[in-house]
Amino acid sequence: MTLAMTEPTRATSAGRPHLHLVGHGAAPESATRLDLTTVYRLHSAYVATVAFRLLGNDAEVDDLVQEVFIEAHHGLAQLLDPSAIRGWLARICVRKSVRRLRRRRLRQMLGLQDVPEWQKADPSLTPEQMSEVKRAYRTLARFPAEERVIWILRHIEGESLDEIGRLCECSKSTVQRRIRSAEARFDREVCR
Amino acid sequence: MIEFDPAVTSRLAPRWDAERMARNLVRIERRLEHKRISRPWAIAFSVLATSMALLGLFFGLWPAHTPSSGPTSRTTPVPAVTPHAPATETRFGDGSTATALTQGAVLELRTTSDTELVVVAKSGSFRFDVVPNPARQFVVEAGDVTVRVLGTRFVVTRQDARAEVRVERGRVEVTWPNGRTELSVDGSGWFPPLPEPASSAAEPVSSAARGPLAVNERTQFIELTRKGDYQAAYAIIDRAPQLFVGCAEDLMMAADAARLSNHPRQAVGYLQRITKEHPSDSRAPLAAFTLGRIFMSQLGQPAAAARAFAQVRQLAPAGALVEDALAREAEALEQAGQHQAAQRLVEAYLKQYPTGRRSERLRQLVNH
Repeated sequence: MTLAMTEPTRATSAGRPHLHLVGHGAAPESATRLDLTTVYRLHSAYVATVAFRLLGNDAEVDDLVQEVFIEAHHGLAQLLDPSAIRGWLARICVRKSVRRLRRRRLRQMLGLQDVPEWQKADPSLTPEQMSEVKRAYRTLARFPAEERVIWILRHIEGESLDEIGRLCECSKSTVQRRIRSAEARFDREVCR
Repeated sequence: MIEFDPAVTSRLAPRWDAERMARNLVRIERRLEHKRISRPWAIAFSVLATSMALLGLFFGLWPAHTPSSGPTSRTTPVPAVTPHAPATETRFGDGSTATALTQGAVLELRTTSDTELVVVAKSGSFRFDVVPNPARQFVVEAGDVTVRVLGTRFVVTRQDARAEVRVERGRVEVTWPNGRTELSVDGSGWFPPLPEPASSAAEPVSSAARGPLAVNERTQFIELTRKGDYQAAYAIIDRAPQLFVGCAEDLMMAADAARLSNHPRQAVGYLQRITKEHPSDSRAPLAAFTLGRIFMSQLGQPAAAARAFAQVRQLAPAGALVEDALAREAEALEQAGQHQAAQRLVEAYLKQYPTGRRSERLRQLVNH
């Protein structure tokens, strides 16, 4: 067993930072741009990580991060609770990822696109770990987008059912139903 | 069923360095600007595009998605555990945690065994909360400094080869090449300690001169900045500017606190320190660019703005900010009344980026 396998570590979203937006009303154009830059500086790495995990493809991360912050830019002025910004960005990211995954799955079903192979992001992963991750993402590629996202949020992001419900904008019971379905599907696919 | 090991999931993150961040920020601004310009046509175009896409899909002509950008060819190694954003928590198998207190803080797992777990604080500041385990020592290495602990909570802030250690609970042993000490609750210090200054006037901003109060204030500043309370954070740096001994990340945080608490002149000072003292740091071009924007829009000093934008090009000639910096430099020079210099830059811009997003505006600038 490798070093990394025996010493589990987990990046969580605990202690999410709060952000006070400044300058609203005084100089709308410059204030909004300033805020977007700050929000981006503070949260782009988090959004990129969520995007990478959901899509399993580094080449699409830049596009998705840009889309998330463009949508965020339009909503910043309406954001009433600045401390909720991280969760809000994650929700946008999840919503946009689901759309991308639906399109990707449709193209795959029509034979217009191959299943993208999971790309190596960290040279410190051992060959066994790489193989484990690739296998999981290859299996997930056959999942409906919503089930895939919920499975990843649960098993990779380590989010609670309540948080998954907030991120996916659905009820806890829907989350539970989809997780059960995704896990059963995962077992079937892996055992096949 | 595959059960992901947390050691694996923590590594499922893209390389997100300052260069990639800056490149994407530029693209976001471009796309926003493009949207503003083309909004009247957007609805008609999207209807047309959707129709064509549906037709394409129907006839099996949907093109495979080609992202606008991929990973760069730079081969910066990704650390084993990289908390990218402030307050990212890394949880170890025994329940111990390491929480990043600064952006860009990097932690690596070096070795692990039944008797010892060794992590390396490569950069930034971390709070470690270690679950007591007499059979297994938790060791943090930060430059020349090694912190050994059996069960406690403490903060380690790496600064080049030195590190600040502040104990919040329990007791730790701190060792460095020629010395050792023990710290208990509320104990703190920078290690290895600097030699005693020859005179009291020597090096007033030296980190060795910090007392426990200063150390606490610095940690408080980091936490306030992380929470986005820039007014309170700025109040701290205004009271104790010596807290910032000069690493680029510290200076960037100080500049953010100053800028966002409406102290642009003070922000200029911090950003200039980044470009002067850390010209090879990946944050330096962004610092120069921010400097230019502050001079231009907040301080009304176009000549100074032009110099700052010129510096962006010097610091990263092939960087993501170069095109924007060149255009903004031309605009700043024009505003400063240096028409000929502005014209030369406009020509250079149009030659290099004939269809660049600022080309139309610059043509109008010189034809005006």
